[in-house]
Amino acid sequence: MSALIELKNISKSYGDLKALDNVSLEIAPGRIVGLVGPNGAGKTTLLRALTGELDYNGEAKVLGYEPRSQRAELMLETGVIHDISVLPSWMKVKELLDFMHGIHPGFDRNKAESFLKTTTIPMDKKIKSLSKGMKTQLHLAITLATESKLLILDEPTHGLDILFRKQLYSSVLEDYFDEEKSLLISTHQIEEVEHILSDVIFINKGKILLYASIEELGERFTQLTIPSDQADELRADLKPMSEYGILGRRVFLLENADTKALVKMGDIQTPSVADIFVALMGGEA
Amino acid sequence: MKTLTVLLKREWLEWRRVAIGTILIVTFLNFLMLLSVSRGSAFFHDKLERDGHINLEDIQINDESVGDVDIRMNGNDVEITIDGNGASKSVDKWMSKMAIPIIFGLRIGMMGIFGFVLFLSMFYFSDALFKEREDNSTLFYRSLPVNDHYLLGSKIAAGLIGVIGLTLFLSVEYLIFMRLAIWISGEPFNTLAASVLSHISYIGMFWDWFSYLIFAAIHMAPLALFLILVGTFVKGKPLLIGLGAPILFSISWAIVFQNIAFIKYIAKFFWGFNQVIIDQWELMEKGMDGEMLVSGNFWGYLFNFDTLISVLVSGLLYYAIWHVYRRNIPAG
Repeated sequence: MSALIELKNISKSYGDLKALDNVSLEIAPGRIVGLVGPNGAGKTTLLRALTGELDYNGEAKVLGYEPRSQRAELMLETGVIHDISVLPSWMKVKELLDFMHGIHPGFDRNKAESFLKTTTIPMDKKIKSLSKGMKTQLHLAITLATESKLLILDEPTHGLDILFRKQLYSSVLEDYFDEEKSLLISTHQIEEVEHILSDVIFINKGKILLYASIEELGERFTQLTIPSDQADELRADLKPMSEYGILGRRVFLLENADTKALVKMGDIQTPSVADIFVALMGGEA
Repeated sequence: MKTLTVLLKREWLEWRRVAIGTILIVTFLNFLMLLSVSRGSAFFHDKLERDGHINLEDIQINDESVGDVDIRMNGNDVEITIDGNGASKSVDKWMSKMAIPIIFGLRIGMMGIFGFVLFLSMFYFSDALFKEREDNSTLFYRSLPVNDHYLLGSKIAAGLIGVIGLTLFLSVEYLIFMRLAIWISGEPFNTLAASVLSHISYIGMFWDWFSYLIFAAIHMAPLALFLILVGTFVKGKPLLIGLGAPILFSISWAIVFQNIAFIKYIAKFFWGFNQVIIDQWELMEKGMDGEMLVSGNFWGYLFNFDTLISVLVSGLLYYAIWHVYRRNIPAG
């Protein structure tokens, strides 16, 4: 099956700042991919390049379309939710549904209305009068109702409370995702999404640090917990990517280590995506 | 086509309050005019009833002495007697002269309406894309399966359709109120006005207005597109910057280079709209001896050097708007 997203040497600069630096990627369809990076890593720039919202250097294909020149065609099969509220604030909720019904051939009004019935969003209110959570729910309702093949979520839970966050991801999984659809979620709060991801991309300073499936991460990275008094000796042998102390013990994060040998040294676990991310960023958790 | 219709409807939904508000304000002003006319008319008719006639002494029209005019009702007929230097003129000639103030009133009203809508349209064009940037909805519209040219074209088309539609609607309303005002004035003004208005070809007049508005739309396009362009990148106050920057530039140019070419151009640009109205209402100068309206000038308006320049400049400005629009520059 051909790739869902193909990027070759994508670069984008804002003055002297390189927001994207020769990014190359191939993402297969039917995956839930997390794009993870700290603030200013280039996540939003990458997503906006993918959706043809800004110019870039390099070659890109998303769902077989070139995003800049075929943005309208691409958007027929792609849904996007941004990190900020982007719905026209002067419109009423009902007017927004009318507008979507007229403008988007794939929009299923009944589906959007069914979704909205499960919320407290009033149909006759202007969007500007809705709370941040309601605006995100509304945007989600109209995006999920377009039956797109690819859904791009750019920090969708930004500014939302824990209830809305949980609800948002469960709605996406229940109402949208199936084997023929793909999700690309950008976030710097990896703990929120790591349980639903099939793949993860780490990005920092415009460069891709890592792109792997969750299974590959489990095979490649290991977390070893040892007594503190053995730490100095083992550190020299194992050369951990990162380490931290907890309850008088030391935790090493190791890459491509022999797990059979590690079992004899201490407790081994599969590290969380967040731990791997922190280790790759060069920090200490 | 369906996409464009939906986008135009969106513009209507967003700006309908401005359009309806404008109509209500102009209607209110028209009612004030009616009220004023009815009070003047009551005074006139009281005097006619009390004295049996009205004598207007030493009437002068365009600095030409007509003489004393005596107006008397004879049943439903109006009797007008002219006594003085102008007595030798025929009544038709006198009526023709009397029509000039009516035409003048029409022209001033029309200029007021055109000027008001022009002013409003500047608000629209400067805010057309700026408001989208302000509430970040540019990102929403660009995440829809709609070509950039449809998004931009719908803004420009809505502005031009709005200007033409609103102006025509207000013009027709003004005409109706003018006719009502004359009707309320009663006899003998009604007879006089009917005589004047019978010379007007309404089809010709509306064709002329429409021609003028198309002309105005084409010639206004560079200003409209310039305001839209300013609205695509400034952080705030697009109208102030859009109008202020060229004026400030022209004044600076004049001071530094002792050359008022840019000031002249700006003055010519705005006076150009007024000049066409003056040209159209030739009766102002010629009375009923001249044509009521210069209908049929549509192609004459369109095919000239100024129009060519307007179209070329508009094309360049549109390209600049499209280029900047794609950069999604946030406002504020």
